[in-house]
Amino acid sequence: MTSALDLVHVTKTYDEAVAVRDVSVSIAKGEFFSFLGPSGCGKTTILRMISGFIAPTRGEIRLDGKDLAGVGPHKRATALIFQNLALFPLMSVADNIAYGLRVRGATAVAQRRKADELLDLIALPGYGDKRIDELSGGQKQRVAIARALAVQPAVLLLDEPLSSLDLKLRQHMRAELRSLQKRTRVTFVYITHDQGEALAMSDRVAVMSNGRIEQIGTSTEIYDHPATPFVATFVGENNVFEGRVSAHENGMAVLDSGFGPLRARNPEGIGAGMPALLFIRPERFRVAGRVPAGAANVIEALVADSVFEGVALNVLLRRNDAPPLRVSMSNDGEMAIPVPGAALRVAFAPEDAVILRKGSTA
Amino acid sequence: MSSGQRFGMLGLLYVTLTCAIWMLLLIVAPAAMMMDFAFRPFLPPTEWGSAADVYTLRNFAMALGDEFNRAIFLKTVWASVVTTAIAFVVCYPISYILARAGRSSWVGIAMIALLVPFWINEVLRSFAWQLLLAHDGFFNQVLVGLRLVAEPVDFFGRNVGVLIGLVYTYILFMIFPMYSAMESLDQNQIEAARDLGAPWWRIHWDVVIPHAKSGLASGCIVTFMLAAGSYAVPQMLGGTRSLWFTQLIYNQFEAINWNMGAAYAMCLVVLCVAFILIMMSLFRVRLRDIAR
Repeated sequence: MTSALDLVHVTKTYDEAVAVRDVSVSIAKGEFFSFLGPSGCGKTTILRMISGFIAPTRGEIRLDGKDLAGVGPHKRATALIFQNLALFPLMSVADNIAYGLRVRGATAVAQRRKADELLDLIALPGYGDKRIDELSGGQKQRVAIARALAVQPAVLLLDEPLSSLDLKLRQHMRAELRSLQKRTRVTFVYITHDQGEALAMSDRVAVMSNGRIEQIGTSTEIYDHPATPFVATFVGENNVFEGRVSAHENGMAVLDSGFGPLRARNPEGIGAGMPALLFIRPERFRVAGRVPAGAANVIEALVADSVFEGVALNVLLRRNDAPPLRVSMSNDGEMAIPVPGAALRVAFAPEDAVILRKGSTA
Repeated sequence: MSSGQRFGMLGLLYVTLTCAIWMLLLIVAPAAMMMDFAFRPFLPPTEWGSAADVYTLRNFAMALGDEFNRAIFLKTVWASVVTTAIAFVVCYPISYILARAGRSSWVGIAMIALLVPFWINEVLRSFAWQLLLAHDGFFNQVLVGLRLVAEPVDFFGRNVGVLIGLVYTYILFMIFPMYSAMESLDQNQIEAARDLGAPWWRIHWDVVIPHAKSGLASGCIVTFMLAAGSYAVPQMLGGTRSLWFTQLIYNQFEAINWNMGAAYAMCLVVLCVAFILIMMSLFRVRLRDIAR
């Protein structure tokens, strides 16, 4: 089965600055694929190259197996949804949606029919004759999507579409976009810096930093099995321990750190004596009474601060001069809130932590 | 904060009075006097206020009733329309490219290049064109030298010289309203139209022109009015046989017949107002859009 979109060793340089470095990705038909990364990581450049507004310096972009080199944005089977939506303010909602069809010479009747069909799909029936400035932010968002879907693109490209919406609306739109994608079965390529969005909506995520892809995987893979220190720290919260590997076998290893020897997974097979980083997420700690007898990776430290955030209780632990440890306890009503200054005993299972080669973090 | 609060009552009064006096003395009063002259017959000063001094349409009848005058009037209208059309076609791409180029360094240079000639007097610039378009002027030398024409072209005879002069002289008045209207257009809209499959002409027709139409309309209006009322350019580039409406007006005033002169002038004013109304309905803009 040919994939919908292939990026093959795509590189983009501007004079000396490298915006995109040797990116290769295969996106399947009907997939919801996200590029996740901080500002300046190259994800916007990739999107503009896919849509045809910029040409890659090296490499190929293939749509359904066909190389898109030299094909302008108006001739590609992609549709782009801009960050600021770029709806046409002087046209009605229906005219906006049907614009792609008008440009292709469709009759007024066919245009109207398609517009009404899509207005139903985005749950705005009867809004055809309204003007753009009469719509709310979320409604404009949906009209922009309808306008792009009207030309029946093979791939829909979304440029951080939810970044200008408020929190509640963003959460609502996340679910809407996901369900829309499932219903229309159009391949979505989504770029964002918000990891919650990427993890919640996507089938697969590509985490990017400085023009390079750090890791491609499902949301679970990215979160539970980060491949690089950048992914481990950019996605979610993570504690980082620095140290040297002292022993390793069977895919596990021991790291000598400021908090003593810690055992964790060693997927990269880092040898003894090598410097490395150990990552363990705040929510994977067992606290005080919940630490099983004979557990590995037990740490005793003093509570520096404890912050109640509703869903979770975030505790900062300190020991000597080592960097603080972040522990997140879920607010299940059964644990006493740790008091600052008190000693606390925490532990984590070796399978929940990972040792990776030293590299740049987020 | 209202003007009254900001400047105090005294300040507000000062500003209002000075504007009102300026408007009345320098704009309304002269125009009213002109209208008065236009409707009265040409009489020696001793007969002013006498029985013969009544309001009449005689001046207008003579102005437009005469076939010769009518021909000149229509020629002026026609030339102004053609000038506006040529200026529109020439300035649209220039304005668009400048507007889209954003803050590039060459945009500043291009702006200065457009602006600098205007520091020189209109008459001198018309004179320069006279030299360039002359029988043995620069253009003819090039055309004959490259053997593109057998004989030197008479640019002045068929009003070509005047049209070139009019378009050139008032080009800035077309470019700047267009440029500023186009500059405010969001680049993303152009890209969105392109992404949806629109060819370039559609992008202009559907996105750029509707957005910029108030700028386009005001550019056309100003260019037309200036072309219709232009005196120096037709005088210098019009050739010996050609007479223009503004020259007729001048001749009348020179002959001390202010009444006829004023009547001619009023015809021109009415023409310009009619053109403004036509342009506004053509582009579907309202007065306040242009005033911006």
